[in-house]
Amino acid sequence: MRKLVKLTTLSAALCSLFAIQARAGTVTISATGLSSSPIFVTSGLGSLTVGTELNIGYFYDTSALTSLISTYKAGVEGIGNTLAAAQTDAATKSGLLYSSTVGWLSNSSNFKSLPAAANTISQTGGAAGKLLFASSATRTVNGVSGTYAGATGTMDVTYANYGNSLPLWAWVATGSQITIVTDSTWVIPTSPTAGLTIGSAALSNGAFGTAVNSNEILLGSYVDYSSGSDLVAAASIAETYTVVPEPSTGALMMIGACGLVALRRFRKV
Amino acid sequence: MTNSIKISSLLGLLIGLIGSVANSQTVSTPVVGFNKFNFSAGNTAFTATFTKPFVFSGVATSKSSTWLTVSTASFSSLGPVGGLPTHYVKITSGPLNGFVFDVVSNTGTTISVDGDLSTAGATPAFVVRPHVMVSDLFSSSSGLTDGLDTITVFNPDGTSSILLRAAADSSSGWVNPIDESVANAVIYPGQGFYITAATSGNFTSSGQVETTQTVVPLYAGAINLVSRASPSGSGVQLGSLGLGSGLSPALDTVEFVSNDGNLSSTAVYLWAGADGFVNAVDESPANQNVAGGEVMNVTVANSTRWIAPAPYTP
Repeated sequence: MRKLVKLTTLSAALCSLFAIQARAGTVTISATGLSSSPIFVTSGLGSLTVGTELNIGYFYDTSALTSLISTYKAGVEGIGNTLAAAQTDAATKSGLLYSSTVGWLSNSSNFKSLPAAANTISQTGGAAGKLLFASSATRTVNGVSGTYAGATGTMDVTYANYGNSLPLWAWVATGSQITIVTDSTWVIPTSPTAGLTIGSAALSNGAFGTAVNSNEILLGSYVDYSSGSDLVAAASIAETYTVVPEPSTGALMMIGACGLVALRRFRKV
Repeated sequence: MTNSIKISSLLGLLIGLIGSVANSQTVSTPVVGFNKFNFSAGNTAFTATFTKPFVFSGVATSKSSTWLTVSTASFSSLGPVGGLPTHYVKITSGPLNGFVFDVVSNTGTTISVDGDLSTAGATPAFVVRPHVMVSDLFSSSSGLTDGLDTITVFNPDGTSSILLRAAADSSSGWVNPIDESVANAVIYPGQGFYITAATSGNFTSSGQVETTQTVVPLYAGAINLVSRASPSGSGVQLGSLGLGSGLSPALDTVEFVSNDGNLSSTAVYLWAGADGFVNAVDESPANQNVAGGEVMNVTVANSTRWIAPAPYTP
């Protein structure tokens, strides 16, 4: 009888331990400019479109991410015979760079999304498996009141699906611009039931408020105002234009005449 | 988790008053004080170690399964407000001694509760106290960051309620992170909660020391953070808390976690019935002191209850 109890006890203990490991914690999202924390906006400092997705998760290869960001920041060069043609070429290349960058960021072999694997997501106006900038709120930015889209909500996440203390990133793609940010406090908790807050309030504009913190604002820019909510602006793709003039008709005739002279001299010889 | 304890008017006052009262009735002055709790960056578990002063203490003159009447009483409004209960009834005699019931409505003489009073006896003694709310505990806190820090309270159905710190945008100091509406939460007697904080800080639990036993519910399929809810810093052995009597042998566990911000599991004990609590890994007998404000995570296969002893008995 005693042995039976012991065996039962041990197996139950193992079951209990596994049960503990399988528990989930709550991840709270707060990116609405609440209490003057920064708001995610476009590169033109306008509100994001309601419905824009806020991606949160883990990048498997941070070196590749760094390289990707460098390529994006380098921008594109548009080449054409006229300025308009160069701009068109640049726009085409920008579109391709944007698509390839977002494609890399979205690829599940590069990025493990928390919302996609969350047990549940609680968000007013949200969508299944996604966290969105789903709400609009009036915020004061630099003394001017305006309406800004924000992302807020909670996710029930099984941390065991990721790993203890893994760092997390947040990124936003507007359709033509991208923001990528992270913070040292955004790590998967060691306790399976612990809470985690991915809040824009954690993003700072650098030490002593003097410069953009390149460790946090990886792609985008921090706009620091003395009053009201600050902004985290998305990065657009830098474009340079190189115009290669098309030869004029006169220039072509001169080239032809030079050719005839050369031919005559050749025949005399 | 370190705390500083100051129990003013404490035992000296109590003993002095008892000594000076020259009649046959027992008179006791509530023991009051406060605990200041320090929290680390990260996640830490806490509880409320004091109750609010009672607004009524006496004996029901009649009752039904859902209400208590005191014919001579003149109760003021006891809530709820905004969907949250503001007061609770705690039975202090008879078969349901220690049970806690939310007040759902009241008149001047009758209190309706959320729960079943059928077995409470004909005329149970009870007290009515205001609930301790999250807003009470953090009304004079420091170190919390707006838009980042949260409180997590676990519900009986396995869900959790999250409050996001927003001192500048909420009358309670907290908002619902789903829709940013003003939010608050009840910390029930003996219940624990998590603080998730970006930086270290502190908060204060103050009020009266509970002097009667408390029945703390333990729900299957839920995270049950419970505590002795005592301001005392001295520990009591896990096996002496009466916690095991409601647990299922070889199934239910009690987990202790670190208070350094990581909530790392420091020990898991399995209830082994006649063998008491044993270490879930090697089955060695539990030798675990439980401090007054220490939070335990109890996992139960079947919903049950723990009759937590009174923190202080006059």
